[in-house]
Amino acid sequence: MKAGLAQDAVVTVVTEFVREKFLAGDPDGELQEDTNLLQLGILDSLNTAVLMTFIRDDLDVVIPLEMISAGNFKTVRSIASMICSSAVPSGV
Amino acid sequence: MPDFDVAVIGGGPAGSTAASYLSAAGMSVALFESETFPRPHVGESLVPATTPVLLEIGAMEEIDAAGFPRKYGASWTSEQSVNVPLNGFRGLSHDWSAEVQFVERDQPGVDRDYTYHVDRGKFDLILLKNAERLGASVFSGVRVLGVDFDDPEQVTLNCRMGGKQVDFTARMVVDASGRHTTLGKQLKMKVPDPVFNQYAVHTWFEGLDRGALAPNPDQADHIFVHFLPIKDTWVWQIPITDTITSVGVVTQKERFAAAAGDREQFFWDFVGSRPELRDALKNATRLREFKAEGDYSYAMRQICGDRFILIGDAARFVDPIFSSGVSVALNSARIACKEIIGAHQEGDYSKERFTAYETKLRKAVRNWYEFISIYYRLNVLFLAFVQDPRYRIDVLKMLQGDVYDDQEPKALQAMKDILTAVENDPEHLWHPYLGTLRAPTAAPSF
Repeated sequence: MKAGLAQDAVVTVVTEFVREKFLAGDPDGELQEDTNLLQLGILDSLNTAVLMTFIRDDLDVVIPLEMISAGNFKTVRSIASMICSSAVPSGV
Repeated sequence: MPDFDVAVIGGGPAGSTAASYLSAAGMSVALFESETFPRPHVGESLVPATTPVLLEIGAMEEIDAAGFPRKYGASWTSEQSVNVPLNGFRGLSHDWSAEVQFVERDQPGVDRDYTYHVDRGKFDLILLKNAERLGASVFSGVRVLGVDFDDPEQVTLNCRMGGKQVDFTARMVVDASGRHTTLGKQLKMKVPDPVFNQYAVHTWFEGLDRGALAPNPDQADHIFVHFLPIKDTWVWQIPITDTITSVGVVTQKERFAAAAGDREQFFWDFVGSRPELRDALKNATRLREFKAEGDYSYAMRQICGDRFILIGDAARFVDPIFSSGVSVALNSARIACKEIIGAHQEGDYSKERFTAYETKLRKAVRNWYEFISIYYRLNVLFLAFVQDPRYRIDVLKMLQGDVYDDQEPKALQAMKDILTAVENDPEHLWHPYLGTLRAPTAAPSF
């Protein structure tokens, strides 16, 4: 996944990952794209590392570890927008 | 003329290896061991950097035949899922595991993709007998009380043999006395580590279900490092036989002191922070008393001098986290013996003959030290690096114990850079997870 990543598509993929990996599938469908992942304890240090691995391996986007900030990881939406703005067009 | 060319204090892996190398080179060697082998000892998991040394001294055949469990890699686990509803969410999961296998990286001089977990009673005896086979005179049950350096032509070891005190002379002395640090204490060269003051409580269990604790059952015979949800604290799980497992809790000494209990209570209280681990251990049978190890994080102002050289734990020990103890013992013996053999050929045992050893060992240990410091300071960083294809092989190189060549691993510099960024950014999500141990920014003085 490279240049011109559609933010909506990334939101869907990240939501699905967080549900499956951290919320046992989220059976009641509670996770929204603006759910505060930090306040609710969904993302801790280990889970941010798991998420970074997913972004790198499955979305092919390398986020520098220095960018793991509260601002970038607060919600699925902010994560998706960080991914989209970090994506490097292929061939560059 | 002195009684021997070289006197070695201590018959553990460092001393036996040195005695093997020197005897094989035709020197007359006396080795003094205060205990009678076999005896139990902590430090049971090896790394592949031991392999070239064991092959060189001709001990590998016996080791291979001893039936020790093969160690193909290392695994780390963190706390398991929280299965109670929290903040409205069910099934919040914060578990994590990672593993590496030695087969992922070829290592110079290593002819196999595994090393061993060993019963140190048996392992140390094999190495001691190897030294004897090669011609060393082994004195068991003889304690070296001190070394007299007054005579410029030789050293005199004051030994206690049975009820008597006996002196032996040699051209030089190798201190492999382990944490007794015979010469370090006598010559007042020992300094406590400024950062680490670690403490371990450990024992052996029979019948621990290692497969049930392993995320991947194929890797049940890896060494397992289980992180506890307590800062700077972890548990080792090392296979000793098919059914016996060594388990130890490592923490800062002050946490043990604050726990204000005995060793047994401390062990179960701390292990209890990982219920699935505690339950598995409770279903196993403890075979030995709980044993404690402390005050093992120290350095020496110098590790060689006129007519003496320090190797293994007698020179330096930091922390057991990366199973480096036996490897440092064997490799420091290997590197030191090269210089000792040269000194013997020249008939010159002065400090200058050994400075190459000191430089090389300090460089290697500095890499270890920084790696260990970062690990404790922010262990999620270590886990992230193990999973990152850009750094994985470089981290594995350190885990293999392959640290004696000249380059600083590039992963180490990258880890330092990110650690600094996390330290300086309170908004960074890993900032709250910084451990309390903080290494000095300057390179540690050995």
